[in-house]
Amino acid sequence: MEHTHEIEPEQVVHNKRSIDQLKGNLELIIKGKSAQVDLVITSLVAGGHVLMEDNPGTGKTVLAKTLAASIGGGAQFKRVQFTPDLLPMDLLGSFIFDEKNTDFVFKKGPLFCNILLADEINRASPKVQSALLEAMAESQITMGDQTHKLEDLFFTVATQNPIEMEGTYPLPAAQLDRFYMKIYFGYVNEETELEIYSNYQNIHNKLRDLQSVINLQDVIQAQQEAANIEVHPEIIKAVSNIVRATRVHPGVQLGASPRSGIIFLKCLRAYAYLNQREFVVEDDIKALCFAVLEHRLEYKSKDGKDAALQQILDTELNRLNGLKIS
Amino acid sequence: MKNISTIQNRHRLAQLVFLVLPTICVAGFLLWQANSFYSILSNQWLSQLVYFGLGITIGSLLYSTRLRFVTSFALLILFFFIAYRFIETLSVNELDAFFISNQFLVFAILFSLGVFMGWGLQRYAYFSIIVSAFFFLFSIYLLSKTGEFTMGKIIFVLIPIIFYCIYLIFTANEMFRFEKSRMFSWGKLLKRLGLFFAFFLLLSTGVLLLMKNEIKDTIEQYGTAQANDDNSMLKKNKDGTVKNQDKMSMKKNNKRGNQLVFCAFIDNFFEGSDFPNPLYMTSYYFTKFDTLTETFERDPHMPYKDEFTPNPDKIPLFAKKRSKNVLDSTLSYKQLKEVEVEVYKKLLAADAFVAPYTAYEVQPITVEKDFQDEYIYAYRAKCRVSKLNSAYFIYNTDDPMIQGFQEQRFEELRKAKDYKNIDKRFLDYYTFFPSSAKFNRFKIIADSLDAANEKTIDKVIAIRSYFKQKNPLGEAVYSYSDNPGIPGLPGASKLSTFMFDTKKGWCTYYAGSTLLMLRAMNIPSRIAVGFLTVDRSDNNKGWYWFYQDQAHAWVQVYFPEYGWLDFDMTIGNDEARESKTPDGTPPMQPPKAVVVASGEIKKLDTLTKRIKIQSNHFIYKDKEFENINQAFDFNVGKAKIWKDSALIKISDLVKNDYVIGVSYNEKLGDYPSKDLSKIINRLPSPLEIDEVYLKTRKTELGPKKEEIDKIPRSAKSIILGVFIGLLLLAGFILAMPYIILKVYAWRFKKGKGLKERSYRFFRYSTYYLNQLGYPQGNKTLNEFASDEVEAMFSNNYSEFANHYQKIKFSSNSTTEWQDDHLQSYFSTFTSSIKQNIPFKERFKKFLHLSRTFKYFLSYANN
Repeated sequence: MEHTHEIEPEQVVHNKRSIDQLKGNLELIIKGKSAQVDLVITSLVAGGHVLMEDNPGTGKTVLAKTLAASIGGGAQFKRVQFTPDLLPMDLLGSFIFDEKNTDFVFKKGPLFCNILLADEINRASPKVQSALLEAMAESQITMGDQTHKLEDLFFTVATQNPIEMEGTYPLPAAQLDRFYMKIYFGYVNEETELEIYSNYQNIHNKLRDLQSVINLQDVIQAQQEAANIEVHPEIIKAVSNIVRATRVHPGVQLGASPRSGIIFLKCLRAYAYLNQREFVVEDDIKALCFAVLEHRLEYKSKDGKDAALQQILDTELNRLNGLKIS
Repeated sequence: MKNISTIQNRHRLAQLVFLVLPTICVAGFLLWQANSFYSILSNQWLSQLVYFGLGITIGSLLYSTRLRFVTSFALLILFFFIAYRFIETLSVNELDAFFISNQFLVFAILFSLGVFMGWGLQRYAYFSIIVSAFFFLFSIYLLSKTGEFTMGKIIFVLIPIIFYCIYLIFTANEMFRFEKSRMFSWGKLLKRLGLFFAFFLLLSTGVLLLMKNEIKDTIEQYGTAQANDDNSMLKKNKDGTVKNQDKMSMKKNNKRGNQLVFCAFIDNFFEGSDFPNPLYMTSYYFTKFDTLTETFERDPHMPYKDEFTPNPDKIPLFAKKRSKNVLDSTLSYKQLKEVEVEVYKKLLAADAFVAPYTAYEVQPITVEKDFQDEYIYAYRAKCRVSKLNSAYFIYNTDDPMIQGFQEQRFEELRKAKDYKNIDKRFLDYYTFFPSSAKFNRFKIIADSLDAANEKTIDKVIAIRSYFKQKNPLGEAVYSYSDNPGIPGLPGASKLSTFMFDTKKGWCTYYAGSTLLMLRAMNIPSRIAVGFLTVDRSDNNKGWYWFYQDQAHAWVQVYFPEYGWLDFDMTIGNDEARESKTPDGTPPMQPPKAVVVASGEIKKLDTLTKRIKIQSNHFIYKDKEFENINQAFDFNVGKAKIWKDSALIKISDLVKNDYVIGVSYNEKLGDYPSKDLSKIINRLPSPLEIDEVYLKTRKTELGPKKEEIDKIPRSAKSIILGVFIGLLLLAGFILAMPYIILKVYAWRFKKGKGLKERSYRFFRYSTYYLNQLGYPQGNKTLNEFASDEVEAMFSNNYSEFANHYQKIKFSSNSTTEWQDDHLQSYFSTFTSSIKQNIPFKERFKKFLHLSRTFKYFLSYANN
């Protein structure tokens, strides 16, 4: 294909190494969550934000912290604990009167960073939530007459507890659409859990002593390179088929938007890049489909939740698998 | 949750009702049939059925518990063996002992067979296949024993058995499926059975309806009593014409029609008078005897083939066909004379030829216009007839005048020599006597008659007298009957039953029995079939009419120097000699053609009514010239021009038509020369022609398609064919998965380019793995390769998967995985599978057709 740029092999190998090191660093701390780690890195490389959902204490925050600690080269990490009394200005920043200049100066809030951990995002009021999400979407903040651009690399890891829990403000579907992925954490298996229990002190120490393995520039370069990963027309067709199928499936109330298709493709490229491939394959679709699409859909009934998307995915994967090439 | 023991009890009951009961029914049916064949069974099929039923019920119930089969069954056999031995020693008198021990043996065998089947049906799902195969083969064996393979029998015996077999296999499998799932529901089972019955009924009705005509045809050809007017002596063709059967078997009854078959003029009169001397009309000789089916058959390889069976339909009009062989065979015989006959066919088939023994020449002739509605074909035949073969010599009648007359013949034949100087091969062939024990009684009678008489003719007369014997009350022992019935026991000899039991039958029975006795006495003999000739005419002397009921069979006995002489042993069929309908007027005999020339028209002049032909066939009186090339100039001014049976005008003729010109002008025929050119020089030119026949191409074509179709195929061969066909089909279906694999491999080898070949290998490998029980399912190829294939076969399949994905989705052409690499991986892959799964396993797995279907279904969405 003409629009893809040739990637120098050595360059790819070099960057792969840093990305791989990032992954290795994360897995030192986060045990038994390889898939989730992959998804988070994919999202980072794709240039999107992730929402992590599960019960408290499953390692969401630790993952975000580890990620931040692993990226060096001046990467700023901020963490905001969302509470119901949090105000937007606590997030964006506020004007403070500068006595020297006798003027109000804009004091940047925690949003002006490279990696933001928005903990328990569903505990904050909708006002704060929308302020955050708007900033995430626009990559800039407008306060009064001033517009402040966010950092080039701005990656939000939001976590939330399942919506059924008390004192939470569920995110509306439109807001959810802005997250590239929603990652379910889940519990680890028995073996890993035992390992965690016996080594938790060790792991804690490791987290404290964690060295950064990748710098900001590497991440931005990885993002650029990932955008050049080849996507076969049949894969594009498959993405389109899946997205369109969600809109007509009888079990789905609200289907996926064209934006989600674009996001899907970006993520596929990043995932292939992460897996050291120069092209996207059907396994990538299988790995990402749920993380990318599921939170964007509204189902007619709760029972049909998994079945509908699974069915659509299986049909498409089956088509791709048997695809005749010659 | 249902109690396990209730489920077990229900299961037992279901086994009894659905498996054991039908098996008992079928066994009863077969036992009933078998009892007709084996005297050892002594006709007690009901009690035998009880033995068997008891055995199978006990077996089924006993082995539904955890009883060990080998030990218990061995004990049973041992018990029977000891008991049998005990009974043998306990002899009240010999007959009783034989009877009791025999009875006990039958009981022991049937009972243990029952127990065995009960065990098998109870324990193994696949045992039903063995049971049904056993019953099926047994029924085929029994059917073949009857010797009468009629369509009706096949339908009414084989179809129920086949139905039972399918039913048993199906039901047993269902039962075991229920047992496996530890659930038992009557509703489910009944629903499935109901569906099965409905499906089977639908299918068989469909087949019967679709094949109605074929079945009907087959029944007409093979069946005995189904067809309405079934004359066992005559064969009815599709167009309604008849000819003599070309084989003769003993049947239950004989229905005779009384329609005119043909009429004939036999130019044979007693010397010095105008008193007609009738001769029997012969069609074929039956020289062979099939012992098993008791059928008399023609034999194309009989020694000194003196049978003249031309096909008059194939011989051009007025052309003569002569058999030198037949003529030669008669040369040495005494008391011969030349006789000419003319046969006018009505119902007789166009290709049939009947004439008195021994005909040697045939010449198709025309039928006069006025008689063409009645008679279709006609021919003239020449025969060398023994003076001793007058019908009056042959008749078996009580008329004392005729009997007195017959004495002349007997006197003459007493002069005949014995068979010492006769060709051994000839003698052996014509005195062949079946070695089967069921014909021994014929031999006994024959031996007694043989001993009492010295001369051959006296022995023949003794047989005739034997049939004419009267009981002390003065009543004839043997009588004529068209409906003697078949013996009650299908295996018994029908001829013996006639000879020693029923003592009534028609000519077939008399001729057959006579032949057996003659041959038992070492007298060369054979059966002749044709038509009985009766002189019923007052006005038209020499003319004879032949009706359907005159179809006849009799024996011919060979006398050295006299040749084959006819003897009719059939008792009291005088009624056949009396006409039921008054005979018609004989057709006008056409004058004898003097000049016949046939060939293509080369020049045609309708004005002067002259045609010129280039002739290749020319007949002058009795002389025939073939393959000549001679031009003739015909004057057809007064000629009648025929096309088929219609008169046409000369203007209807066109150039290149093939015509036969005939002149009846006697004046032309006094030139005795044998030289063609001299004859032609003598003939006037143009030649006055009386009749012209425009030949339709019909007779020039080869044998009609119909005739090829008519080659008799026995029902056995049809069944065998169907059976083999089914086997082949089943084999093909079972081999299907393997064939598909080979097709995939072949397509891989034939594939062009890396992409196509990779795809072909992908299909080949996934198909192979699927068939071996490793379906890809919903996994992607990479997952499937690393999770399952690699783990099982460790054959680098995931490497292929990686490369395949690259080839599939990347525009970057790969360098490290090229055609030869793929080729070598193909053999690596195949051999890794062969190493990991032994042949036996693979073979078994390739019988799973359902896997094949699933594979194709999973790709059907594409």
